[in-house]
Amino acid sequence: MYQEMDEPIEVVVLFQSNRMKPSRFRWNGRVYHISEVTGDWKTDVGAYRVRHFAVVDDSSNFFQLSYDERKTSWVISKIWVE
Amino acid sequence: MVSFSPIIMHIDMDAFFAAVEIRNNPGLKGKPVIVGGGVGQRGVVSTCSYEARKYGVRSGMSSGEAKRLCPQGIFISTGLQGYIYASACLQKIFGRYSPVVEPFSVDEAILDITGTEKLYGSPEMLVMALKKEVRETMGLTCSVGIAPSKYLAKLASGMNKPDGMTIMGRPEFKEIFFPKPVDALWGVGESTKKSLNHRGIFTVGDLAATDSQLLKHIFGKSGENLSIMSRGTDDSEVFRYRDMPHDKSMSHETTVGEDIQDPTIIKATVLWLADKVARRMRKGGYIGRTISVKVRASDFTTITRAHSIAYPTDRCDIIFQHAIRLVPKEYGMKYRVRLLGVRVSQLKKIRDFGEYDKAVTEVNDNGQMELDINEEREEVGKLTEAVDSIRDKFGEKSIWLAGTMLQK
Repeated sequence: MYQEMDEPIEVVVLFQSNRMKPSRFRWNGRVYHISEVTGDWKTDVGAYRVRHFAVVDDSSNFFQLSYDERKTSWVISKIWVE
Repeated sequence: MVSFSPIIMHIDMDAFFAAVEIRNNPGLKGKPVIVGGGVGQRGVVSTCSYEARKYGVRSGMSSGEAKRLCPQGIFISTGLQGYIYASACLQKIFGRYSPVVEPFSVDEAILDITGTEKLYGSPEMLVMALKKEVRETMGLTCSVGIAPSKYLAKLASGMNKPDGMTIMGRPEFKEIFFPKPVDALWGVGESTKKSLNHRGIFTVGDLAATDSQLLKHIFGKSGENLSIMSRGTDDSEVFRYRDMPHDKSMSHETTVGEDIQDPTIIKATVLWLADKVARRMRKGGYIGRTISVKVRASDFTTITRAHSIAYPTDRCDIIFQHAIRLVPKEYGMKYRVRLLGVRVSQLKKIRDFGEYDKAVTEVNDNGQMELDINEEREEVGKLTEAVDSIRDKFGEKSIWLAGTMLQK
């Protein structure tokens, strides 16, 4: 099942072909390497935008990462737990 | 080989919401994924994967029923923004195959591909190229129907799912559909079927053979449509998005977490719904005249009530004032309420209405219509503008009506 969260993370991002592509992130001191960005979309919160990325790490774990343009900060917004 | 003209293509994304969820989280592949309602909630299934359908789960079913049929199902709350974004990406892809693309819903589109043969060869080749691009760039599959009209194309796309393609001319439509029961036609529901059966009309062929004037006499305007649908003679135009007719109505409804027994909470919920509908109308530049409510009791009996006002509006307070009067008093007292909905129809674009000031009218305490020229109502208009600009800047949840706080 999905677990919603709002955990701050640090993210390394590639800007490639006019798109943002997160490549790895650090959460609670551990670094996760992203093997695939499986989906991306945006939500508008008033005049600001939050970009969401569905990603899978190299151990096939699913995460939803969200970048808040107003705060210029990243959070893990959702994880999949078996 | 396609021998008809125009050549209309209907694209239906396969189990779209579930497919987007599975694409996002590949660990869900091959599992019974059910979108809508959420875990432990009482919502309605929006869609489900084909694995869940094997257990009898269907769109529109209550989450409770889906859980009973498929206890091992993976229930996911609807992530509408993600689906809308995927849908916009798809519409862009479709636009590369035809200049005439009509978005039919978030997961469907209609393309007029007449005359594209020189670019793509046959329509079948175009479909193969389009499906390949959708699969490779979006990780999704779709089913396609090709026919000489929008309606037949829509029927055809549903015949070979998932990831299928069906070409159906009018002779094939007659051959395939005439022996089928009337509800094989898209848009014919249980009550229309019963009514037709009661009159000795059981198959699509029977319906096609029935005089259209008689159908009109029995069912009104929809009787004419029934005649056109059953004969496969629909010739409605495919609209580009920018040329599409205005929305006919805007609505919002909610299935509450726990049946409502308190009229105060019904009031708060109707206010919350009216606010959501009014906000969407203002964003789209619409005003509307007919206000309706939908109320479903805990035993699933559902009523709808509508009322037309003299001048169209986009204001929450006016919509609420009329909507709450339409909710019968016994709901929340005698009957517990499971679902509430508010709809505004007979919409017009503000620019089409001319003197917009005329629109801000409402019923006074004596039940008479009066022009909204007094100070108090001007204040409401200013307040609405201020609330809109706060929401525009900080989001929909940044400010809300105090009266909605009891809404669950």
